Amino acid sequence: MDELIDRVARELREPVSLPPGFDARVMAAVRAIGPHVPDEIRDRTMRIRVGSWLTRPRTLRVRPITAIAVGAAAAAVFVGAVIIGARSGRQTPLNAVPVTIAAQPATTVSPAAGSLVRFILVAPKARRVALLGDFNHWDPNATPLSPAASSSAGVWVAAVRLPPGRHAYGFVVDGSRWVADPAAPRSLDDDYGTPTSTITVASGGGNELTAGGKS
Amino acid sequence: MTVTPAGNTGVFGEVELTDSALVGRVIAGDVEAFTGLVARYRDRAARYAMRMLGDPDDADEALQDAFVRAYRSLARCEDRDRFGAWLLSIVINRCRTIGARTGRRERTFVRDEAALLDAAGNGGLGGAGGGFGGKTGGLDVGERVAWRDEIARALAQLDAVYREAFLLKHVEELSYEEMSAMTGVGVSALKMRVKRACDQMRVLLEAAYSP
Repeated sequence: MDELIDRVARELREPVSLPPGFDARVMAAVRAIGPHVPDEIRDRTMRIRVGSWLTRPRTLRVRPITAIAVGAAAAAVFVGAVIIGARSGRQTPLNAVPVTIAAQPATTVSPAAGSLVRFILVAPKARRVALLGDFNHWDPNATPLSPAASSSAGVWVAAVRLPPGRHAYGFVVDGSRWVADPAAPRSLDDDYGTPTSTITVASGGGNELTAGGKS
Repeated sequence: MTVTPAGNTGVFGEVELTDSALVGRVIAGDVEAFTGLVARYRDRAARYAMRMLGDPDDADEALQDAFVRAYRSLARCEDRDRFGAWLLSIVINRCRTIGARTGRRERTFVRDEAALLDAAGNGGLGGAGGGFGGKTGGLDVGERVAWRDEIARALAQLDAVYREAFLLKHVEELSYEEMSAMTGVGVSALKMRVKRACDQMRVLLEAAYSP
């Protein structure tokens, strides 16, 4: 490289000054987009018909699972609840756990149009758990789960009213660990190691569902 | 490359995370980890965008756009340890789009006053790259400004494709293979473009160059 080009290049290699607040503006835009969701989560579909759940309790294939049937009087059905790292096989009587209603997602769903869905995650070592789904724009701050009041085994719960339709969701533990709902049945074409779930809320409203997961 | 120490530079606790680790965290849902990647690569990306586009507003737009696109499509970054190279290819692409949009062949280059004042205030004209040595010796601030202006004007005269190739080869110091991967242009064509750019720069700068 000749000397002139060399001098030009050295001059051009000098740093340039950036407009003020550049980093902050980039991060503001990025935060507005929201956290990443692995593609396989969005692609995963699982159809749960409320009617069939009411009439035909489903045996979940994912291990380990503790499935508890709840009386249909309140039209509440457990999809499943799993205890993380369970070795003793102790069951948590989740129907006895008081549920706190989490912050409503951005879209207000009237009771007549939607169904109340309880999300339960058993994560004893977690410091915080968030529910992310297409219903809250995958916002990790929108729907935090709360520790169940009488929990002794790290049970986290949130209740969200969802409109009819298919909803993808998952949990984020401690801000960085993705947890699917392995208690939910996987789709037939599931070949990934990190699951998440989709729950379908049938139209008609007034029903209650419970979805639970393990991390 | 100068990296401003302000803000998160990818150091978490006592450990500086690699590109791969930072990318992994972002993909896992940790939005804030992207700060580390921004801090690590913004200076280099800004230098290329500014030299390519010659206008600070255009460069800012190209850079903002590039970083946001990089964030959105981060899962498609195949070699996570080479996030910087992948980001630069996005910056190159954004500069092409914005450069074509403005459609100006004759650009108005704006002096980087802040950098010049900083250099003068430090008593030397070295900047981050070390002293401005060489056969020309030390230039005073006025001469330095004039020299930079001449370079900027000459660069503005080049066709965009020649300027792009020149900057990637001689300023970003990439190999022709790397340039080819980033630009989608074959190595032979890139070599020709760099040669033509150098020839034109030489002609344009002959009058300004004082040995």
